[in-house]
Amino acid sequence: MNSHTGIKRLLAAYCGGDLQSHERALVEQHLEECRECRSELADLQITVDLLRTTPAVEPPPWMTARIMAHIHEQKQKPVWLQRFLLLPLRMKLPLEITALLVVCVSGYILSKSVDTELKKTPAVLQESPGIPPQIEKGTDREIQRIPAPSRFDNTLPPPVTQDIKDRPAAAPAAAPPAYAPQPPAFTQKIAPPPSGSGAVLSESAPAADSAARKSEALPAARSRNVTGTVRSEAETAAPAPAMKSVDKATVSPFPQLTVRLTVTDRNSTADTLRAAAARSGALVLNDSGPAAGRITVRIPPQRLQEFYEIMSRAGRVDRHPLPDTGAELVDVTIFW
Amino acid sequence: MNTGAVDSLDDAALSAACRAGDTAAFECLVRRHQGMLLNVAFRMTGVYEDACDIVQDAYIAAWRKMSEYRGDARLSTWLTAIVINLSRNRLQQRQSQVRYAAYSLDAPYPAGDGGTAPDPPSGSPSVLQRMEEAELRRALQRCIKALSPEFREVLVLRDMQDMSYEEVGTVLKVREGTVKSRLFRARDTVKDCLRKAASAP
Repeated sequence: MNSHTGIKRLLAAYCGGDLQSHERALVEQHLEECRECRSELADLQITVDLLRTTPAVEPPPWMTARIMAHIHEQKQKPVWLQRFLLLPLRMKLPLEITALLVVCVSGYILSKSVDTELKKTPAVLQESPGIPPQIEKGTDREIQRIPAPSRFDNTLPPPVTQDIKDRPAAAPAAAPPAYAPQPPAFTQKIAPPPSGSGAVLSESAPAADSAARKSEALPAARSRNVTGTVRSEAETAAPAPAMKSVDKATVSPFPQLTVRLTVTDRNSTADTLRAAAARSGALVLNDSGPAAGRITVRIPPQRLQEFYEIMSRAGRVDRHPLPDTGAELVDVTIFW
Repeated sequence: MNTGAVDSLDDAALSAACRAGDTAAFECLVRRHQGMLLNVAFRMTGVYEDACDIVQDAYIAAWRKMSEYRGDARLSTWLTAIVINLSRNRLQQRQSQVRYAAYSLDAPYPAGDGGTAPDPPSGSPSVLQRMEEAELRRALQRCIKALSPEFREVLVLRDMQDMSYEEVGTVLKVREGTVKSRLFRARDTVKDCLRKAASAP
């Protein structure tokens, strides 16, 4: 095969040393006479050498640890669970959908029963004006049965305030701190009261700014169903002090950072960020929904870089702010 | 097994230990091959974060499937095949996205020196010689990205990762002859692409 076209086709093999000796000889013979092929070969050689000398990248220092963490987690799961997780989706999906429906239906039923219980409370409280408003023990128990959500609820309900208007003026004066914006006051009572409701109430009054007590109140802040119905009642009552739902950010003791993310697909960004938060050990504090374009997470500062790296898969991150040293956790709000 | 002892064991012994549930042995395998696997994933996908995810997913899958590894191929070959499959999936996912993450010269942990583009055989005019190396490398990444996956795979595994034809064939599950023909076509395609970049104003 001495033709020019034929030799040309062999050049790519020749430059990598991939030809047999007799083919090599043919090519070399042709090269002596053909300037075009010499040029082709030169460029091919440069190409292959560029490829062979491409700089390598190093794995990040945390990769081994992360992989081993997954492995150890895997090891601890019982065998049946591992098998279950590996089941094909078509088998898992009906089970998971059924489970989800059961949870939703029970939540709905429970919220309805709590609703009816709460409507009874104003009448009960009017009988004892001197005592700060509280829910009867019976209702306490009802509400305690509601399963708590696993993540922090950012908006806490204002207390039930229909009763305030009805009560004599002395009562509000007697316990004013309790009725300053005091969502924890209400939610504290929902939790098993540590030592009588009176003590709980006075404790919760200055507690609005204390993150420690807030974290105590938050697990006690029960399901959204409860807060939803209570809030609508409270808002219609319109008490004198403004009852705003407490924004976590204004009372959080942790440094607050903000980041802007530029994305092409807004709809999936919320999911990507939630997944990124889960991977880097961050807690989602405030998720205002996929359309709102804002999410807040709480994360240990040492994992923040990791979180930014994963986040940059979803879009362009404008900057990577880091908190001052010493913060145990940091709140990051991402806008997109 | 303590970490000192496992380091001296070869892959075959380590994989046997892993099948018995020895996580220290598995950690040794992770450390030993993660660099190579990361480079395969990175050169395939062009996105560092994706490559990191792929390597982690590959190792987790390898741990689960360790009983399937029979030792007929090298362990690194087996792991590379997992990474190639995951990279293919990731590329398919990203195909629909408008934004292409270009090869980042600021990849977080670059290692080593790129070296200079060599001089062509004397007396022959080279088009590519006119370009500066940095520019050439940027163009190279674009040209590799433009290759369809099966050509990109052979180029990455053979010319960039320096695997033997036999190994490449095992990873991609094709004959050696197919590997070679794809490779030569890939080289030609990239060379033509680079020439176009060189002659562009």
